Amino acid sequence: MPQTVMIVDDALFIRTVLRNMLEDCGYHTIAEAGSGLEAQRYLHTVKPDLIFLDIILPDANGIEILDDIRCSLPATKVIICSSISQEQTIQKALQHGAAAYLQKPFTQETVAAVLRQLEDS
Amino acid sequence: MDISRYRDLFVSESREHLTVLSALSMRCEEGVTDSDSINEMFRHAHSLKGMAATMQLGPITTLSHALEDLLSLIRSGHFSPTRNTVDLMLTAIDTLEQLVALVAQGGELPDSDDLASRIRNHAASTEEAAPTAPKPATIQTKPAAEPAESLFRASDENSTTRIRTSLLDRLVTISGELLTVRHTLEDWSSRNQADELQPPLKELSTLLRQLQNEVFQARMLPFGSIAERYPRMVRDLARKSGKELTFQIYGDTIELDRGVLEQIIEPLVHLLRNAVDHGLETPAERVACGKPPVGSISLSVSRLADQVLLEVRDDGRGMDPARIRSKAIAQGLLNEQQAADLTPQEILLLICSPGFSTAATVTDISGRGVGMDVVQNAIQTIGGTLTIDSTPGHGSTFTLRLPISVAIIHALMVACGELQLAVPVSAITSTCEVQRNEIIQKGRDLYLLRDGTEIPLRNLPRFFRQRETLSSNEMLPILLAESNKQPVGLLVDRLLGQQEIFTRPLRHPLADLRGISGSCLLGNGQIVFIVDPTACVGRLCTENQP
Repeated sequence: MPQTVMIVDDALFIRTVLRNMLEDCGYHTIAEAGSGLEAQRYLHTVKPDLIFLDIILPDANGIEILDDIRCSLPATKVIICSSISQEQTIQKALQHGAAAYLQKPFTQETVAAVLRQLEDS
Repeated sequence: MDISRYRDLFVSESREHLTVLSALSMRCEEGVTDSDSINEMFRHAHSLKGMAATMQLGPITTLSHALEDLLSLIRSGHFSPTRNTVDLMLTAIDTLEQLVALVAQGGELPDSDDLASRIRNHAASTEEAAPTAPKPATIQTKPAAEPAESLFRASDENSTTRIRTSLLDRLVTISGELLTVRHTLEDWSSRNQADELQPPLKELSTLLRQLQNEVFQARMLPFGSIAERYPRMVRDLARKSGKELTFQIYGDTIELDRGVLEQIIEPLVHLLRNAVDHGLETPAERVACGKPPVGSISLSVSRLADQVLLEVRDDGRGMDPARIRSKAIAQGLLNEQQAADLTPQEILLLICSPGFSTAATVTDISGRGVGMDVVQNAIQTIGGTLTIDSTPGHGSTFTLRLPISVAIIHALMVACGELQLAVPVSAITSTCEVQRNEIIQKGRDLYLLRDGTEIPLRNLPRFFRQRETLSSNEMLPILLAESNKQPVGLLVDRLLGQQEIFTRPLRHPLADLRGISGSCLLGNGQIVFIVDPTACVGRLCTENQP
């Protein structure tokens, strides 16, 4: 059974591109959210295996949502997906329990690499 | 993986980000630089950068990155935005809009490095200088005092979805065609006395009516969807012409049919330009007349039964009916006696006569050659009317009364030879039947004699190459319309009655048929062309001149 994914990003464009790239890798996107509020709403209904989470959201900071997910759905792996490239931010995300950090702009190759990294771990 | 297949999505979403960025920049100029607004601007620039980078569009990425960094510095309190900062942000947003338009057309993007460095230099130079308080600018839109509410977020929370307008048009067409199918079924059922079909047919009719209502509802858009462009435009015009003003928009949530909205974008641009350029005085002139130096322009929308009222109001110098009257007489538009019979409102409407201008000079702001006649024609085309109120020294109000929808109109069905045609009721001033001897012929031209005047007449059957009807001795039906304020007549064979029709535009190769503005499908499946009386008589007045 393919792993299920939720994508949290305020840009429909990013969600669409990422969803298609994930489908190509055999992952099934079961939910998309454009804001922190939407993410919270779907989270417990869909209980995805993976969550791709943007940091800068209209109503929330991705790191705070990451904390919530780590508490309420410990089995779910969270991949922070952001264009912020500062080492400090990446380390912070990993310290808060992110399983991986996907740097934007992503490509089919970098998405596939992150997925492989998760499968190996 | 081919990223170019996401182009349309990228373009439409980028435009949303840029629209919000533009609106928020303007508020920044008003002095609204609270952290929420700056944060939101930052977020839009950031999203745009991320999307552009994914699309591998270097120039857009570079420029939105520079904008993002500038906003980041403002956000962290390193400096306060000045008027120049806002100008630079707006230039960046304009350039980004142009770049996105190029992406939409599939063109090559020029590099944006120069502008990006200007933004970075500006940030560096302003950062070194002591932080300056932003100079409050004088353009306001109504929600200035409210907290920065995201236009962008709203669509997420209302669980809306994006639909291509062509798909919406297709739905309108299909629901119209379903009516024809229903008619065929009803016809068959009555011919074969299939009584058991009556209940489901009745149900079908009810559902079809509901479907049509829903589809029309889906075509409605809030006025705000076109109004976003105006504050920026008014601001730029004001700066260019040295006017100080506040600009407010009221009622931007009122909904109109997409077709109506599209038709009023340009007329409103023109009315607002006129208000800034000709309506308002300079601050010095205003002070000299005892007025506050800052003028005011407003654009308000309200709903009145099945009409929408749009008002463009300014508190400027107003228009002097006496001056307009004497100028119209001097230009030969009418004689002294005719002018004396006009009400003050009718005199003000004379500025809509072709070529009439009351401004002493033509500036590049209000444009050359495009006048109030174009505005009035555009409004009449969609079945609307224009009225003008003005008090010298106190300002002017231009009021547009518009139908909520242009897709369904009342039409008069007429017969011309073999043809059945529909004429929009809004385009006709009256109908009458005349005797053959009330029509006189001069050369190839026809005139209707009425109250001692000769009204130019267009023989519609002849215009549409149908057989001539003038030889008969019956009463001849005539539709009276107006062209350039002058009465004109349309001679037809028979009046068939009035009905609501569902208009559809004509496409190539039929789009340029002279005198035809669209088509409609009748319940029996017959296609009927819609006549544009103004276009039919357009050349009549000149043709009729010896």
